[in-house]
This record gives sequence, structure tokens and C-alpha cells, in this order.
Amino acid sequence: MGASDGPKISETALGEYVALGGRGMTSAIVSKEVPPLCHPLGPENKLVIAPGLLSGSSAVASGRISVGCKSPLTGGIKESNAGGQAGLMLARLGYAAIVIEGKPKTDDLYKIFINRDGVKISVDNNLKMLPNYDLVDKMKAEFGNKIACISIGPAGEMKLSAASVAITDMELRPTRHAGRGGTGAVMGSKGVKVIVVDAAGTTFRQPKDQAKFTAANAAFSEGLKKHPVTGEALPKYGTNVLTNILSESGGYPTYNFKVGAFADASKISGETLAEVELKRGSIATHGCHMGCAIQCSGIYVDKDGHYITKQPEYETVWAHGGNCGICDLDAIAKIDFLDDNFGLDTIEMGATIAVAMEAGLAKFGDAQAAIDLVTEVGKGTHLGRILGSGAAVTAKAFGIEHAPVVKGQAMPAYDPRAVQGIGVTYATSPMGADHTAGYAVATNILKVGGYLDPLKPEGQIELSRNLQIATAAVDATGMCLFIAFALLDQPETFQALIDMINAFYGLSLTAEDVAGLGKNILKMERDFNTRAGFGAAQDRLPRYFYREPVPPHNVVFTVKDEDLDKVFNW
Amino acid sequence: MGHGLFSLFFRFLQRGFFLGASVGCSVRAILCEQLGLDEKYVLQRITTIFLDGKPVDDIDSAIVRDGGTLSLSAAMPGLVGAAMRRGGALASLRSSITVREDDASEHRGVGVIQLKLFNMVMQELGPQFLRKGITVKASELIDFFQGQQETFWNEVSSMALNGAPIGRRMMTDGTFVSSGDWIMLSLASPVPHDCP
Repeated sequence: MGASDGPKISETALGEYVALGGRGMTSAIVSKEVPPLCHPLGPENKLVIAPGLLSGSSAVASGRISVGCKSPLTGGIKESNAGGQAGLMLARLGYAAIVIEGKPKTDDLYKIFINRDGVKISVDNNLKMLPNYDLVDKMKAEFGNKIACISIGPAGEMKLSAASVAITDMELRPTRHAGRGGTGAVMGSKGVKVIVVDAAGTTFRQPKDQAKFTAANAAFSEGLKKHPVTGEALPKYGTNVLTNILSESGGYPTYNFKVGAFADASKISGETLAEVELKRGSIATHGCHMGCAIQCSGIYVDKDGHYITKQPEYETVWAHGGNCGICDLDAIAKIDFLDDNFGLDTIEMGATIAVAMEAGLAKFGDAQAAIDLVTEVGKGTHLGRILGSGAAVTAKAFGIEHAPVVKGQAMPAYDPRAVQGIGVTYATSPMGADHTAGYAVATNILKVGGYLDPLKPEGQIELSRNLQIATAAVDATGMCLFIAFALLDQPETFQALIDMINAFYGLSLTAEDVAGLGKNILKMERDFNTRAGFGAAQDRLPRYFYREPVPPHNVVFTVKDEDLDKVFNW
Repeated sequence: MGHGLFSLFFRFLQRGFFLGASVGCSVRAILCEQLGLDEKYVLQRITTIFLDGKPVDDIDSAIVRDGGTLSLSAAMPGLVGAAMRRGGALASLRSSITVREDDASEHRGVGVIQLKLFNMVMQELGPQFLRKGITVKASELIDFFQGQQETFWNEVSSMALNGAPIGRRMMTDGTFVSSGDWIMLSLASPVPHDCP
């Protein structure tokens, strides 16, 4: 973007990045090519956008896309993951990654268009400060409605650390976000407002062995459909099915992580959300990308049936709901829309609003005040810029100790004192506090690190390590991480995934090889963070989690520092 | 009332309802012996159970005492959802809150427990509990009736309080009961529902 004659486009062969995809691709490029001590908003940082190894094929649930960079929020390496249509379209066009580097010399705003004929970059300052929905409407008017958009809203243009990169869904709405870590700010620092992808005239990427691939895909799809999580709970109730469960367990962070259960959880639960959607004539079962066999999303409408936002996810309902003491689904949906439109990480914003409430800027439970605070961010007021910089900065600005962050990134919707194992992952993941970094992929089937007795308190360190390895591997494929539940329970479904990868690329990978891929990704990420100045001190939870018990179980985080330091000993 | 209205009452199942039980016995005894749930359904479908907010791994050693709360769910997504699963591979992630009995022997007596039903378990078991009757706070029931539209009342063919007919007005203005009272609610429909 900073070439002397204006932005310059080049296409290169994969070279050393062959056999990488998704998070594997983004972390490889960032760890090799970005100076770890660079300023995240400066010209030396790179924004890498990569579909997964199976994206663009006919593999079910393979449409995820990864966005990587040095994070302005954490100061370490970042991979942020989203659904939507852009991943599969980019892959079908033959692109393994888009790498945006440098920094424009002027404050012009750029639009990038990619189709079968190539790539075009053009100045379009009419797009300045457009919210994502308005921006996508303009792109539809210009390029038609068979496109996908990768965009930033005003938050990204303002380079706020909570800014997301939005990806459009099947209805061409900017509802899926690579939210975590401020990737939108990096895109804004490069002067890129939107990347429009048009895959017209392309077909599915073809596997090396079509017959084996088709058989494996069918077995994999059947495995997802027959599993009670992927085949029933998620399509019926969405991710928000977790609200009742987490609140019941005492692990649902409420009132800025002050207590672990929300008395009004049932008012905002997934069961209630689905009931409201269906009663209002909308749908509670919906895919975020073509080919999704799980369909955990939905569409939220008002009482008159008008569109408000996509079905809010568990993390959004928690962040803007229970964590802020709000029990009004309509208000939560409105804030979800604002997050999407301004281009903000819903987790970071909800955690930030709760910190702001503890600081006295609003009362817990005041939904209108929460809406007003998020609106300030979109407008870029002085208060809005503080809030849009995340929970840690907001806490500092208002003199609050209770900033629930690790490496500067806000914790998601699970209290680490009640679920100590997730606390291990929050503390040690190279990404900062991250709930998707440690998913299970048939841990005992992989037998990575050996079989674990599930009833023994020990083994959380080994488990977190194994989970992080497995997650990194799944993130590289472009598969939705929710496949993990079917893989955990059904060895034949995990084998079908490996068979698909092998049939597509003509390989003979084993489960150990897949685990090896995950280990390599984590190794690259840890290495980058070390060179960026991170050490053991950053792999810790905030002190108050060790000190202040969380009701109703009144537990504190008890995992020892020396055990946290063993997570990556393999 | 029409069977299709049953789901409107599911909110009471999520929030929790009360029932008399023989307490001081195991979770399995409550679910299978007293509530009459099929053992196969309990073992294969109700894969997430909380007792007083703590995840249960062993339904034979977890003891339900007077005043206890039992919450039932199907398998859940997410790392933490999977960690809550009964005897699951990830149970160690939440070992600090798992049910642990110092004394797993049964000492039965008469008491009251609270039951909560979530997600698919709520869908599948809800109708049978609503038919048998659940005890809820009168104030919550009055709030519920006050929030219903005409379409709801059109489907209600009759209502009775302690066996005597009662009108819609008394249900919505709540004069039939004191707000601090408890009430046993049961539903009937012409369509029989098969329960597990």
C-alpha cells in the first residue's frame, strides 16, 4: 500500500508457505515477515487474510477465514477467525492468502476488487466513515449481489483496538466478524476500507482423488448430523444454548466478573431466543456460509418482523447481556447490530461496557445506557475512543483494577475461577484471553500426551496443551471449530476429516501429523511473542482472579504459575 | 388447551419448578425411580446434569438433599459445554466445582426439590411434567398470563382452580391468589404426547 507510485499488486507462488492454510498461513507469514517489535499500526505490520486448506471445496462446514497480524490490542501475534462467504470465494478464485503490507502515503481510502480477471485497487473516499451495512449496500449497487465483502466500519478507520474485520454472510449482510485483537485497526492503518470478492465463473476446488473425497465428505457430514451437539443443539438453539448451562454452573461472568450466575439467565437464554425468533416469524436455524451442515445461526427480528441483526451468539448475549446485568433480548440485539455496523469486537465491547459500568459511567442493567456508550464509540467521541480501545485501557482511564484481560485482550464468557482449565488456556494462549484456542479434537483418540483420567483434578495443563494443539490444526483447515464436538465423540468422524484432507491433497496424513501441524503453528506463534518481548509474566491471569472468590461456589483460580509455564513443554 | 401452547410454558421449566420428592437419595434414584424417566434416556440423552450448580459425573454417588436443585441438559457445544458433560473427557477442566460427596450413602426422607430442564431435554420432557403438574411462584404465573395475547386465550378452552372453573380476568389480575403464594400448574390437551 505504500509503494512510491501508489498501491502495487503482486502475485507470488506459495513457496515455503505451501501446505498451509487458515491460521497456519496467517501465523507463518506474520511470524516470518513481520518484525515483532514493529508498531502494529505502522508500515511494517502485515494484514494476512487466508481461507483454510479445505475452503472452496465441497467439504461441508469449510468456509472459515483467518485474519492475522501483529495485534494492536495485545502487542503479540493474532489470528482472528470468522465465518461468512469470503473464505470459500477467495479459495475458489485460487488465492491461498491476501497479504496487505506497507502504509499509504496519503489519507486516501482504498477499495480492492478481486475476481477471475485479477485484482484492482482504487481510491474511493466516498466510503469514508461509512458503517458496514451502508458500505455493503454501496458495494452491492456497484458490483451486484453475488459478491462477498471483507470490510471495516468507522471503528477500523479510527484504528481503535477493538475494531473488527467484517465478512458478509449468505444474505450479503456484514454479520460475521474476525473480531478479536483489533485486526480492523490494522486494516484501517493500511487505508483499505473494503475488499470485494466476486467468484462468478469459478467452481469448487477439485480434490486429487474425487471418489475418496466424496466418500469422506459424506461420512463427515453424516457424523455432524447425527451428533446431538452439531445435529440438534446448535441448529435448534444456536451457541446461546450455553447461557442456562454456564449460569447454572456458576461460571457465567456477571456484573463484570463479580459473580458467576445471572438470576435472569432464562430471559436471555438460547431457548428463549429461539422461541422469540420463531414467534416473530423468523428463523432460528441458518448457516453463515454456503455448505454449512451445522447451521447454528438465525435471524433476529423485532416484534413487527423487521430485521434487526443476525441471531446473537452466546458471547454477544453474555457480553452485552449478563456481564452488564441486561436481560432484554431486544436491547442486546440492537447492540449486536451496532457492533456489526461500527465494526467492533462484541466480546471486547461487552467487557468494556461492564468495566465502564463498574466505573460508574452507567448502572448495571441499564440497556439504554449501554446502547449510548457503544454509539459513542461509533461516533468517535473522546469517551468513545477510550471505550473503543478495549477493557484494559478503559479500566486504566477510570482507575479500575477489575479489567478481566490477559495480554490486554478481554476474557470471553467463562469465568476461569469456576472452570480452571479454561483459565489455563486464557493465560497461556499466544492470542491473549481466548476461548476458542483450546477446543477438543478427539483428545483421547489423538492420544496426544497420553490418556487422561477425566475425574482427576490434575492434567489440566496437559489438557490445555493438547487442546491448543488440536485447535490450531482445525483452524488451518478452514473448518468451523464446532466440528470438534462430533470429532471428540465419534472416532469415525475424525477419521473422515483426515481422509478428506488426504483425498484432497493426495497425502497420507495420520492423526499424529495433524497434531504436528497444530504444534508447529503454536511454536511459530510463541516464538513471535517471545521476540515481541513476551515472557512468563504475560502468561498469567490478573491478580484479582487469584484473590477474589466468585459466588456461588466461592472459588479462586488456583493453578500454580510453575504449572502454567509447563503448558508448552512437549 | 391446544398442545401447541405447551411450549409457551417452557420458560417455567428453564427457571425451575418445584416438586415433592423422597430426598437423601441418588440422582439416579430421583430421575428413574421417582420421576419415572427411562434409564436409557437418562444415561444417553441427559448427558449434562447439575446438582446445586455443580456438574455431576456419577449419578449414583451424587445425593439430592431436601431443598436441592437438579438441572438437566443434553450435550452442549463449546469447550466449556463439553467440559460440563457427565464423565466427559474434559471434566478435569472444571474439577474445582464438580460434585464431590464426602458421604454418598442414602438417608431418605420427605422433602422438596427444584428441577430445571434445559434445551432438548426441556423439549422432550416438558410436556409430561406440565401434564403431571409443576409448582411455581404465583407471581410468575400471573406475569405470564398478563403478557399473553388474544391468540393464546383463543386456544384455551377451560381453566380451573382447585377443581372449580376460573375466568381469564381472575387469572390476569391475579385476584385468585396472593402474590407470595405457590401454585401447582398443570396443562391438559386433547392430543396425547409420548414421553421417554
